[in-house]
Parts: sequence; structure tokens; C-alpha cells
Amino acid sequence: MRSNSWLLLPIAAFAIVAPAQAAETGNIRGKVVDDQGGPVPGATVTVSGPNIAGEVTTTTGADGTFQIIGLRPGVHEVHISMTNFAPMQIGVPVRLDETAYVPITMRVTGTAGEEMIVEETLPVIDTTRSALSTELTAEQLQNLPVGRSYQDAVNMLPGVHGRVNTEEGGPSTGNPSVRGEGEYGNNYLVDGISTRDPATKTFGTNVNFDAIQSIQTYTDGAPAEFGQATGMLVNVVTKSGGDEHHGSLSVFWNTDACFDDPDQPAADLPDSCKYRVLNLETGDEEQSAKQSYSNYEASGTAGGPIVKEKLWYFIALEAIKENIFFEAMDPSAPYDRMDGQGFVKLTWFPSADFTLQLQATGAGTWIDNYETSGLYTPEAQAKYKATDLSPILSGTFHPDPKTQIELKLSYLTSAIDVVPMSGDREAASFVDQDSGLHTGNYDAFDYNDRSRMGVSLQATRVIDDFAGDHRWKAGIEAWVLRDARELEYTGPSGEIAYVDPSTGEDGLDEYDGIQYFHDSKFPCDEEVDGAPNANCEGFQTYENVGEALDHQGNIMTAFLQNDWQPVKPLTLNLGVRVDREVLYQNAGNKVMDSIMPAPRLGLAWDITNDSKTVFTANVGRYFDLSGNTFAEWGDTRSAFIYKTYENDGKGNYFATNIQDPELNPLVYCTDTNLESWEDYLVENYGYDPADAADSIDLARKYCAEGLKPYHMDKIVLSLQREIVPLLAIGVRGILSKTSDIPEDVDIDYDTWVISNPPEKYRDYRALEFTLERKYDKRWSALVSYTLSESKGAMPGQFELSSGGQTGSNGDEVGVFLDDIADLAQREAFYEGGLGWLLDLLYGLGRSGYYDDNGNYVEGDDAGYYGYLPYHSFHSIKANGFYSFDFGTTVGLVYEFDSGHAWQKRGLVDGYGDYFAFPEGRGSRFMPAAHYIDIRVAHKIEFASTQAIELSLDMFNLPDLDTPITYFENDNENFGEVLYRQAPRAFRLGLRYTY
Amino acid sequence: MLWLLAGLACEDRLGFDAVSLYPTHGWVDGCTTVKMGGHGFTDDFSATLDGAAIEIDEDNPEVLPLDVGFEKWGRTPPGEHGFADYEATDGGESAKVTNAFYYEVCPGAPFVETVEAVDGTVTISGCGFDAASIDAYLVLKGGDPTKEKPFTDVGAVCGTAIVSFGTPGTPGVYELYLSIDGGDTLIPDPGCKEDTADTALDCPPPPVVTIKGGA
Repeated sequence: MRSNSWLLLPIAAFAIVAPAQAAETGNIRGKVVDDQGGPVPGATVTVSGPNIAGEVTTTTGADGTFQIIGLRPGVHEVHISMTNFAPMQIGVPVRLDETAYVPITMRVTGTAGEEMIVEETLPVIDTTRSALSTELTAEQLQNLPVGRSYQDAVNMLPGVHGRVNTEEGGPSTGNPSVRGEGEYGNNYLVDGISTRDPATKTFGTNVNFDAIQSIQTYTDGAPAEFGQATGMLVNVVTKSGGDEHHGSLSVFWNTDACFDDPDQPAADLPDSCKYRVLNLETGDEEQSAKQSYSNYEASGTAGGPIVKEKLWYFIALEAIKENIFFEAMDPSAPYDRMDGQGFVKLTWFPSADFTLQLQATGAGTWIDNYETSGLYTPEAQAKYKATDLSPILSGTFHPDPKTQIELKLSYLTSAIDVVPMSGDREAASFVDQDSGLHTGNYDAFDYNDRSRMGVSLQATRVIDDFAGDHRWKAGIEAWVLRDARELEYTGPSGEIAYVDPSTGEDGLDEYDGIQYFHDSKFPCDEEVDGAPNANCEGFQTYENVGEALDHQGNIMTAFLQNDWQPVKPLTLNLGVRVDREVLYQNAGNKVMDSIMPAPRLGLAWDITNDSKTVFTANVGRYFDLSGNTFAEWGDTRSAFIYKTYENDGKGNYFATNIQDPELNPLVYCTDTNLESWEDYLVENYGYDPADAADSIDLARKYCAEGLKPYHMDKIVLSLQREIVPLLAIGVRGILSKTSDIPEDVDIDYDTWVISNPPEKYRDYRALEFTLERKYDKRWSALVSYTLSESKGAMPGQFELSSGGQTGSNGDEVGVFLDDIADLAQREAFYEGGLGWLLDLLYGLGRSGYYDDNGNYVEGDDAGYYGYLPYHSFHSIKANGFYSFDFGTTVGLVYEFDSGHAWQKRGLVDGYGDYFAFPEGRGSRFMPAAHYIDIRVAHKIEFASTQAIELSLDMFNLPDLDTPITYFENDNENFGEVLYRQAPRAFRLGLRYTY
Repeated sequence: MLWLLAGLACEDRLGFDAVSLYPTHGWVDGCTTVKMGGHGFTDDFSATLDGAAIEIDEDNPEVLPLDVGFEKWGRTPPGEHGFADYEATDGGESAKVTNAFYYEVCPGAPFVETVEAVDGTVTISGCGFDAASIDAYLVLKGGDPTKEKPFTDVGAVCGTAIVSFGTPGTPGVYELYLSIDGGDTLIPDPGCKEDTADTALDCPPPPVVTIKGGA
């Protein structure tokens, strides 16, 4: 009998090292009984399979049970042998982060006879966990009509709103909103390592589609080992090769129905081939152009043993040449894009219990003539380049089948550069104020670098002889997230003489870059005597006043969880996770130090005690990282002073807009910042020290609880039943609230503090029905109906950008609550005849304030709280495929969306943009939309292990063109169609596999 | 589960809610034109400020077909100086926004905010207009208001906030003077002299209105 001191193992690991990696493996547990139902102790259980080097062996305990953890997903052969019993063999599908239950009944033979192969289909429901997760297997990814990216594939899952880009309008960009948490609420992992962009909080890397073994997703109730997300956790598990050689070579041709017909009159095109462009001759926007695309893709993979059972390799390469036709663009400078991805993995088994893996992903995107709006002439075009490289080194130690220790080191780096096509630093850019046309040069060299460097250690241990069964897991990890940005504006440096219109005094400003504004009345195409043309309408200068932006986040995480089965039908999923995020601005200025304790409690009850019916309940708190960009707000906002000058008509320039980071910083609710801000008010704003102290005292009230990271609390109830072998139906209810979302609050006109106003929060609730049929070499299906609502004061993304951006990603600071709430202050405005000033801010919402008694009076959200852009009441998703005996496979992906919310956006005069919700957020709904995608493929097998497959994917088969985005701004365009469903598209593929 | 289902099903169609009232301030005399936004508005819509009814303008041309159900226009009732609560009701449902509107004391009696001439009628908006005692004088720009004949047919259009009278008939650019004492005192005072730039605010120019031909 083992010592119960193993119970201390996770605690020790928690204290000294660090796991916290998401699972890339699954588990098997089972019970061996004789034909009388009695337990068979001491039976030998051996697991082998294509993803295992050699074998894993254990023996059954006194009660006949056994467990093996840390198995890579796939179908494994399980052999059971015992003296006097006939040996048994059964195929067990191991799924990501699930525990497969294997009940075995052995028959007495007297002597060891021929091995009996059990054909029985095993239960498909994991009755030991309360989290809701879905695994997209290699078969599904291969046979369903989805885009060849993990970002597209996850759109098939219930609770995922990814068909429409509710941030920008139009089709998806690969960052879906999940369970009402917006496009920046998800965490994307590759082999358990987060690859999320530290600044934008979007996906940070692409993965070669043919290198994906399977995709595991958690939408609700994720255990403590998963974190740093309030939406979905996506874990992409890559292939590793194996003891057999396998590989593929594929070519694809993609095109949509509008492509390659440039001579067709736009008026004759279906609406789905049109989108809005600007007519440069008239300056009007028209729906008369088409955007269409065609691309060629080649992909190859190879994997197998270098030394059998010792060293495996897997390599994948992919190249995509994309042609997108934008009618608005100048034909002499067409959009030209190239994508490439590479992936390599080496897996070494130096001993039976130790595995070492080294893998690296590299990807790049190169685009010439990056600006597609038609508002950039060829000389003003930009070149775009994005590259990333992600090496990961991991070691896994399996001292026995019930123990796993894993160490990972990773470094992910990416760079995005947007620079002038001309490469010219000195040539200035010009913007026509009438049409928005850019000429002369691109306005800047923009270099962005992001990196994630991390180490993690994780330990798992099964203990099955102490108050029931336990599966402990513990881990710690540490990350350094960095994002740096260097901007270099084009145009000559120089100095400009200006006149202060209020004082009449002259001044001289230096600048390091310049962008000229002009319109038909003020031709501004050349300089005069080395100075800007006096007839120019105006120009914007850039003065470099600081270092390049360089923000850093230090993340530390620890978790401890236990799947405890005190009695057979009941499992408790207990866990706690603590993340700590420390954010630094330039110069090491710490703006946030958050400790985020997140308890998770789940219950899974195998109601019928046969692993076919499970009721679950799950309660948990989920934090997301604020992200490095959060440090940027209120920092310098940039390292530049921006000044916009206009000509007074007499050749005198005066500044009309100045963005000086020194003048308008935001103050984070930390003691350090508040104290420094008090000094700043005195030194730079001329405050009397007592008045400055009063301002800071008021700020401290808002900051009484410090600046907290936002978090979500969620309750999930579910019932799932396997009604026939491999097919399960389920129903689940989900309720969540996301609060403590930060916002900047104006407390005395000069001081804006970033705090956690209670007016900013989100709510989500859903009732969901599912039907899932697991793959069995013939077919699989996943069908869901979700009745849900997503409401909130901020969507967790930039607002729909038909002119209505809030200036933040919704989880950071924006224009919300910028109106003045304090009644005494408002009264002073009205009585002073300045009520019109308050009207300039009307519609932004008023933050709460402290009355004379020191009590907090909640503010007015001014209609900001309502249905969020990705909300739709009804969603149906059905996807599945069927393989016929004659080699043909048919796949279907269908989605019904009852129409997402939209609204009129009112003009906020004071900000000159459409930030208000006069009718309430989400007061209108888009028309219902159907998406029907079909895939037909035929495979011809030859030479026993080789095959050629010809496939045709048809997206939007009926060529539906339902509007998916309307113009929301309250002007003459209000209610017009901005985007429709993408037109019918095809993908023709040829694949050779061995 | 059932409570989730019931709650969601009930909200499958947006009900009534009143969200915005703009502008946020006006004279205690009332008659400020306000735009009310929200959703689920029907012909049954009504609204009040501190319990006094806002006069709904059902025919306001600003309400486009896409805005029906989402937007109403109206005129504020007279009110007490200070903040007032806005409450809207429709189909038995109501929504309230506290301190949504601020009633300002009329800065003069009378106080002209805007003046316009349309179809032979001059309309003056502002506050403090007692139609029974007020006289209006339209003087061709540059003329002497003390020598002109007053128009005495000023009539109330909306309480003491909007009054109107017929135009002189002759096209031109006119200056508007008012009197509440039969012409003894003109507002603004045509004899007001500007001594320095600092006192310029004490001598506001008279409002100007253009009378077009064909009226």
C-alpha cells in the first residue's frame, strides 16, 4: 500500500515549482471484475497505441480499479491479463482532458488462453467533471467544411459568436465572442502554452492546420489549471509523429463567387458582392464595388520515427498566396499578400518514464499595398509584415502511471511592422479633408514587438486509497509579457511659427514629423521656402518627446485542484487558482499589481452509476489579465506630442488640438500614482496645495478599494445522457456576471482616475440544448440550440466601428461615464449659463459621485447598458459528417443566428463622434441569418497505407446575402447596409496521404 | 433551468424603456423642444417632468420611418427652478430618470433666445413673454426704434416661452425690440452706449430677423 504522504506531493509542488499548463492529454480509469461481478485485483493493464512510445503498464487495486493519466489523445489499445482469466483487449478513445471509463468483465479460463477482443462501445460521457468542454478531433477538422484555421473551427461550437465581426462589422476576423465576453476575452494556447498577444489580447499565432491533432475548448466551468480568460479557452494540441511514418501533401484553391469577373458591371452583381467604398471623384460613399478573393495554398506534413520508440519527428509547412480584389484600389498597386507557416517538433524518450519535446512554430504574413479602402494612392501605400516564432521545450516525467510531472519553457515573439511602401522617411504625407484621400507618403513607420517568455511546472498524482479517489493537480508558472512600439512619423523635421489666438502672442514649435491637411480650397502640395505652404488648411505635427513605448507585465500563477470521488457516482472538482499581474509603463512605473484569487467548485454526479448520465453543477470565479495595453492608457498614450494647426486665413497658424501626454495623463488608483499626481497638480496646473490635496482626497474615495482587475462569476448547471451508444444529449443553464471593469472617471475636470465604477458590468445567461455523436470511423455530429442574452454597459471589445469607437477595447478605459454626474457641479454649470457645455457631453453616461455625506450615489449609464453587439437570442448550430463505404465523405456546417443586436448611435457634440445610445444599447436586431456550408470529398486508397483525396468545400452554398452590419451613426446613412454575408465561396482540394 | 427559460422567453422582444431626454435644460416657462429616445414607443406614449405632462408632438418631421417606436419629440411643461425627474409611460409600463432635466430661471422678462420669420409670422422663443402685455417692434436695420409704430398683436404660441406676431410685409432685415410697458422702455435699450470694450456685454445688440418677400 502506498503511503498517504503522496497527499503532500501537490502541496510540495505548489510550493517549489510551477505547472499550470493546460492539459494536452487525457486519462483512462476502469474497473476489472469477474463474470460474477467481483473485483479482480492484481490484473495487469497495459496501454499501447500510435501516440505512445512503448507501453504503459499498471495493475488493478484491491477493488479492481485502475487509472492511467497523461495519455495523448487518440484510440489506445488496452490489454488486461490475469492468471486464470482469458486476456482481454479493448480499444479506448482517449479525449483531451477527459477521463475515459473502461469497465471490463474477465472470464475464467483456467489457463491463459487466446486474447479476447472486446467490441463493446465504451461510454462517451466523462462523469467525473463538471466543466463544459468540447474537443474538435482531427477527423472533424479534416471532414467538416471550415476554414483551415483553428480560429475558424471553433466557430462551430455552442456559445461561440464568431461568424460576424461585431467589432468592425463584416465577417469574422478570428476572434469570436464567447458567452458574452467579447473578442478579447479568450485565451489561445498551443500545446498548453498561452500564445495570446500580450497587448491586444487576441490570438497571437497561427498554427498550420494540418499540424493540429485536436482542439480542446472550455466555454464554461474550466478547472483551476485554466485561467486568464473570461470567454473561451482554446487549446490547440499539435501532432508529434509516432512509430509509424505518416504524412500528407495538399494543395487548395479558394475562390468566391465574385472573383475573376472584373468586367461585370457592378450594378449587375448580387448584393453579397458589394460593399461600401468611397467614390474619389464625388467624395460620396457608394455600395457599388465588390470585394472578392482567390488564393492558392500548399501544405505538407511528415512525421514518424527517427529511432523507433526513442525519437520521433513531425514537420509541417504551409504557404498561401492570396489575391484579393478591391475595386476601390488603384489597379497599379494591388493588394498582394503572402502567408507562410512552419512547424517542427522533436519528441525524445530517453527512458520509459521521461519524455522531452522541442517544438517551434514560425509564421509570417507579408502584404504589399496594405491599405484597401481606396483612400491611399500608390505613393501613399503601406507595406505590412508580421512574423512570429514560438519555441517550446517541455519535459514530462512519468514515474508511474498515476503520476506526471511536466516542465515547460517557452518563448514566443512576434513583430508587426507597417511602413511606407516608398521607404522614404523624409517625404511628407497629405490628407485631403474633403475625401480622406492620402497622398505623398504613408504617415509613419510603425514597429511593434511583442513577446511572452514563460516557465511552468505541473504535477499530477492519482491517489485512490484515501477517502475515495483523488486526482491532484498543482502547478505554478511565471511569465514576462512585453510589448514595445516604436513610431517614426514621416515628413521633414522643422519648426513652425504660430500665434496663440487667445493672447495674440507668437511662438515657435519644433516638430519631428508632419502630415499636411488640405482640401480643394487650400491646395497644399508643396512647401514654400522650406516651410509649409501658407495656403494649407492645416497640418499635424509630431514631436518626439519620449522613449519608444515599452510596457511589461509580470505574471505569476499558482493553482491547486483535486478531482475527488468520495463515493463512486459522485465527483467533486475542487480548485483554486491565483494569478498575479504586475504592469509597468515606460521607465518601470508600476501602475497595477493585482492578485486574483479564483476559486472553482464543481460537482459531477453519475446519476445512473453506469457512466451514461451525469448531472453537474459548477461555480467559479474567472479573471482575465488586464493586458499590457492597459498600462498604456494614462501613460504617455504615445511618446509624441500631437498638434493640429490650422491657418487663420491670414497665414497665421494656431493650434486647434494638442495631445500632450504631459497635459492629460490618467491616474491609476494606486498610492504611488495618486501621490505623484498631487504633486503634478501643484507643479503643472498651478493648484494651491490645499486644493490639490482635496482633489486627491476625492480621488482616494474612488480608489478606496484600489484598482481591481475585472472578473466574471459564473454558475453552470447541466444534465447529460448517453441515449444510444456514442450519442449523448444534454441541457445546460449558464449564468454569469462580469464586474470591476475599469473606467476613467472625471472627478474634478483636471483629474481622471482609473477605477472600477459599479456602472460598468456585463451579464450573460443561457439555456442550451446539445446533441453530440462521437466519431466511430463512420460519422460524428454536434448539434446545439442556445437561447441566450448578453447584456452589459461595455462589450469587451472596441465598439462597432461605424464611427462609434469608444477608444478602448471595452475592458479598459474609454468615453463611458465622461459626463458629469455630481448634481452640485451640474447645477453650477446651469446657473452659470453653461448648460450647453453639459449638453456637449450628453449621452456618455455619468459616473457615480460622493454626496456631502460621503455616500456614493450611483451614476446614470445613459443607455449604455443593454444588448451587446454580439448578442442574439437564438442560435442553432449543426455540424457533422458521414463517410460512405465507397470512399466519399459528406460534411455539413449549419448555423442559424436570430439576428444580433444593433442600435442608433447618437452624436456627442463635445467629442465629435457617435458615442451615445439615445435609444438604449442593443435596441434593434439584425435580420435572422443562415449559414450553410457543405463539403464533399472522395478518397481513393492504394498501396494499403496511401490515399488520394479530392475535396470540394462550398461555403454559403445558397449564396444568401442577409445584411450583417448596418450603419449605426445618427446621420443620413443611418440604417443602411454596411456589410452582408460573404458571397458563396469554394475550396477545391487535392490531398495525398501516406 | 425553468427560471432561465422563462426569463429569456419573456424578453425575446424588447419592451418599453425610455432612455434619453435632450437637451437637459430649459426655462422654467417650459416649451423647450425635447427629443425623447428609447424603445417600444407606441401611440400610447406619454411623458412628464416632475409630474407635469410633456406635450407630445406626434407629427414632428424629425421622426423618420426607421425611428418610429424609438423616438418622440415634445415640449416641456412649465416647472419649478431646479432639477426635475423625467418619467415616461407606455402601455402600462413606465421608466423614470431622476434629475434628468434642469429648469433654469428666465434671465430677463422677457428674454429672447431665437427669432424667426416664416410665412408672414414672426416667432420669438425664449422666456418671460406675457403675451397680454408685451409689444414687439420690428425696425429695419439701422432705423430708429423709438420712431416706429409698435406691433401690438403679439399672441402666445406656447405659454410664456413662445409668442408670435405678423410681419410688417416689407421684405428686409429687421431688428427686434420688445416692450412690456406700452413702449416707454425698449428691450434691448437702443440708447445703451458702449464706453469701453469691457462694457460691451451690457449693451447686447437687438435680435435680427430677415423678412423674405412674398409673405
